[in-house]
Amino acid sequence: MRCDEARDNLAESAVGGLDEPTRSALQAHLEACADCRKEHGALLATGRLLDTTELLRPSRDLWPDVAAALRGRKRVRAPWWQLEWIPHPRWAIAGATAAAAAAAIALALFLPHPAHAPQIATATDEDAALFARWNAGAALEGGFADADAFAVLLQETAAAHEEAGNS
Amino acid sequence: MKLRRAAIIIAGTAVLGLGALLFGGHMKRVAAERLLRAAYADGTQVGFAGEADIGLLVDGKWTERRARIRQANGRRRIEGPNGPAGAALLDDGKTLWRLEPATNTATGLSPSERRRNWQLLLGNYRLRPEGEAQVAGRRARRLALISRRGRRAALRLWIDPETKVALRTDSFDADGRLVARTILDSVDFSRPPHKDVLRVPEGWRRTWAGDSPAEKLSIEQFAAKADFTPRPPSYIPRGYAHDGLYGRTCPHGRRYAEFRYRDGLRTLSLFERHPRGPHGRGRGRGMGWRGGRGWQMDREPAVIDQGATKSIRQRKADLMLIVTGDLPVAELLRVLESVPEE
Repeated sequence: MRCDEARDNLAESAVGGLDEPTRSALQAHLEACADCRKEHGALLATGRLLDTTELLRPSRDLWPDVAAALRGRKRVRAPWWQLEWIPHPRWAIAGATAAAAAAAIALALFLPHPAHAPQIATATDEDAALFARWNAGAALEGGFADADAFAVLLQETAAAHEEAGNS
Repeated sequence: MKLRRAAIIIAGTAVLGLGALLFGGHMKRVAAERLLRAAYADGTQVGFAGEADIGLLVDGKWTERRARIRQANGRRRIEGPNGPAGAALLDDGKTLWRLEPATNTATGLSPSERRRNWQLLLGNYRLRPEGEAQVAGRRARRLALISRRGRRAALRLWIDPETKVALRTDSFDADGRLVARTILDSVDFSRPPHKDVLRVPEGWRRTWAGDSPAEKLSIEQFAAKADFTPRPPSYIPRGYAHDGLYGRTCPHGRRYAEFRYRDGLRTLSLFERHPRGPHGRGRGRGMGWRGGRGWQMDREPAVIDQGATKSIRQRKADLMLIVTGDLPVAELLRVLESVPEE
């Protein structure tokens, strides 16, 4: 028997588990090989030590006792901000942030902006009625304005302008 | 398994319901747009005679006029309380005339040939059907054009679905104030006006109200006719599209350049003129004007009119600028500021 074959059988030999031909071959090798003999001696010492240890046997089923202990304890919930109620909190936070950003952009784009009307002076202009009439005429040509109202406005601004020109 | 089947049925019903709702809304809008287009086309061709109240907000005051309106074939005549004997307004589809029987004179007030841009209108305004109402004893469909930016109604029309005639029109400014209203309170479709009523009578003198009508020009063409080169603004409010540069001459002979922009319904005009007027002279605005501080005062912007449209005037380098439109003052100022100095 070679050393590697002998070491494969050492542990089983220490607990008396080898058949007779293998045990004889191993015994012959141990008489000739000091290293394997030393290894065999160490295994025999360990076996003797284990023989002195008391073996504890569990009851037939442990689970009923474990379940009873768990039922007796109050379940501790994580606070809401730890987001344990959400399956994937990181994705949820990313999604909520993206939604908030999109909402902010939409508000900025679509809500009417408050007009920051600057405080500027008012003045009269000799041609104010003329500009109003020209603008009303342009609106009339635009085609969707209230044609009757704009016609009356044009007539009255023209009259006002003529009056201002005559005075 | 049962729960899953119930959930599928509920979800399917919800999807079908939502689809039907969306489709129904879409069909309503399509019908509303068809009616609106018909009102501006077929509705203006129908012959009728009616009585109306025409209200206007001018200089912050609401005033109403009683008018008799007659219409046929795209022409319309508005008479005041004195009837045919008094002054009347005639829109023949090309020009708006003031007819004065006392002097047999027709005075042109404005070109009136309509240049409607439906794409621009419906791009800037959402059409909303608003149910039905009675106007002039007839059942009318109410439609509103809602500004997509301001979220406010800009125009509301009550259209007779049978004749397509607009029986009532309410116009609002950008702040939501009612600025104009025409309500027909009686209308008779059985008595269309005679064609002669809707024409300038033969032999009448035709003239123009002080100034001449606007002339569409390029910047170079305008510069060749006037003593300055107009400068367009680099900032235009959102939704407005350039319509053109128009050359104008006021009754005092001053040349004005008008850069005109439209959003489909409203018009923004930037008028530019040489501050000294024709031939290098203004009317009484010499060096002694306002104690010699006149020109300096003009360099600050000033609101010159607060009616349905606002106007702001400012002198910039060698140009006097007047911007007029139904927009917040801040927006009008941005337009003025964007005109280059040189």
